[in-house]
Amino acid sequence: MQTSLMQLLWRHYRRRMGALGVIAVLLGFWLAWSETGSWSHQLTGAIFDAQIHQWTVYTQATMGSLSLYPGGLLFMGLLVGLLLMNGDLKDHFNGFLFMSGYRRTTIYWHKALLGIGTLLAMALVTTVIHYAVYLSHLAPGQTFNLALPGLLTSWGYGFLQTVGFFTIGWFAALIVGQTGPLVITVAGFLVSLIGVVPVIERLWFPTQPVSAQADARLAGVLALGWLLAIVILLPWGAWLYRRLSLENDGHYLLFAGLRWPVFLVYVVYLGLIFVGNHIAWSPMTLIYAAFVVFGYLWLWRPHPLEWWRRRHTGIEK
Amino acid sequence: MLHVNQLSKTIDHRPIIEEIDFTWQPGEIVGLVGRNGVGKTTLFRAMTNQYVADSGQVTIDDHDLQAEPQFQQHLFFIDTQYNFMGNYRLRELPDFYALVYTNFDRDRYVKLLQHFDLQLNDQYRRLSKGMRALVNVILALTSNATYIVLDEPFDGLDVIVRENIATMVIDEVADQTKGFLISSHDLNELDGLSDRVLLLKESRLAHDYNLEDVRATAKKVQLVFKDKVIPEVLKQNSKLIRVSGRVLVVVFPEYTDELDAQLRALQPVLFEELSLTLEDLFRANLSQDTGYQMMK
Repeated sequence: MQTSLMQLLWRHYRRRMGALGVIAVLLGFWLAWSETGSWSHQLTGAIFDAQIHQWTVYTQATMGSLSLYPGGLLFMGLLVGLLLMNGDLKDHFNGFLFMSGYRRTTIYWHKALLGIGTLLAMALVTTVIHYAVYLSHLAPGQTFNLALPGLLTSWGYGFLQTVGFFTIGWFAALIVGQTGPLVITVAGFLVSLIGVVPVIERLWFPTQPVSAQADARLAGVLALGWLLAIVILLPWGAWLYRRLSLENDGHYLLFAGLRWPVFLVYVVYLGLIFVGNHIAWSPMTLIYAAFVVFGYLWLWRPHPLEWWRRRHTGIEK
Repeated sequence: MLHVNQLSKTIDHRPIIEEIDFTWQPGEIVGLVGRNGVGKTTLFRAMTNQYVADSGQVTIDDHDLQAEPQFQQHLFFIDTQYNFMGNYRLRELPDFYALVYTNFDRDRYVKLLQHFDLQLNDQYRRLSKGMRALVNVILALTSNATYIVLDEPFDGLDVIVRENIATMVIDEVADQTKGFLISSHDLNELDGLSDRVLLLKESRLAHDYNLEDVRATAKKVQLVFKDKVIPEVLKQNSKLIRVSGRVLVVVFPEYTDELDAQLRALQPVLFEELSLTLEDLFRANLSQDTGYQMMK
């Protein structure tokens, strides 16, 4: 019976996953090719430093930009998560799945497995292409000295980040029922992370300069953060999926009970980052206050905003 | 037996269906009627787990569908408004349904498509509303599920196709292994199809009619009286369906010999019995009052 469920899911997603696979490969190829442009061909010998032999995330790159895991896959992780959840809501496949006779929890974990499995396949193929591009760009006298400790650790960390991005997209698409606001919300959240990571780095390593070992330790801390996010968000999503009622399709929040957490995370947190570097009572503070009020209206009093939107898009005169 | 047990659903703080309770056996064709927005589709969506019900449950042979969802495979429903099939070609649809309904009959599906001049390569969303409704019915019939829910199945279909479908539905229940629950605004179609009609009114199941029993007791009569005053016996025992000048068409839900004697004693100018349709019952039961108030 569970085999039929996986067949059912794969039959529905296979075209989309295939298209995403092609995008991942092209993106990986382009990014690897771009990285080789930064390489210094004056240097000869091994392209990876001695750190490649250590069981740490590889962070050294003296000859230019080098990565052991294709960075584009993080974006693909986000995209797969968003598409699997939001797509099923928008094309009403959830409705079919909910009356298919399978437990919702089973459906949820099979979907997650399919998404992560597809990402793993994408990551393996893209990595091979990534390394092939590197190999094809080696100058005479340069050697491709890949070593398992650095490779496995860095690749594992990269894939963990990919699954982390997948989880963020997946969970956001599970709780937000409008595609446009979903994209804006996720993009805003991720941009905020880019701002938050250097703050963590500064707190963790207050003294400069930062060494390779310190970089690797930071990667370890971040890996733990990603793991924690995955371990919390995926099971929480399963709990919510069991309670997903499709009459809320089209609402900003599909679960009314999540208004407060969403308000705190997306409005207060983003707003604080936005105005964090400004002194009190500056114009930014006022903007922040407006931001918080807007968030309140958006989540608790959507009708005036909806009325305004309809009026200005000509839906309702 | 399928049992909808005290099912309730509130949407946006408004009760859409309240304590709906009925049973449904294989071999029965049950009609579901009610005015627009009364909750017919919400009932179907709550029954099939698309909407999470606030309270109540649906059981099939005493198996709660929430606790034992595998029994949902005995229940078939296609949401006419929201379904996933838009991007698929008709030849691809059995690939999905056969994975859920293990007795799905692919050969019959293809034959029925051919019978109704539908092309396997047609994309579902490019079909007309009527043709989509027809594909939905074909999928329902070939699913071989025990309990089949059809939401407005005749909407947009021409009369020939309607008759074909009605015949197929009647044939399907002949061996008493399948049952149909059909919502429709076309009460005349249900009239020829259903053995039983559920009437939804103000979010609740107002009546559960066995049409044979109703027809045995109810009567529709066309009357003309000498003067304009409506006799009290009429006001108390009947519901006004139509009025044209002094011609009154009324339905008596409980027509008895005593009532007959009282009416004839009034010496109406015209007293003619008409055939009672489902539409008459629908009108009689859904009007807010007995209809005589408007004549004041």
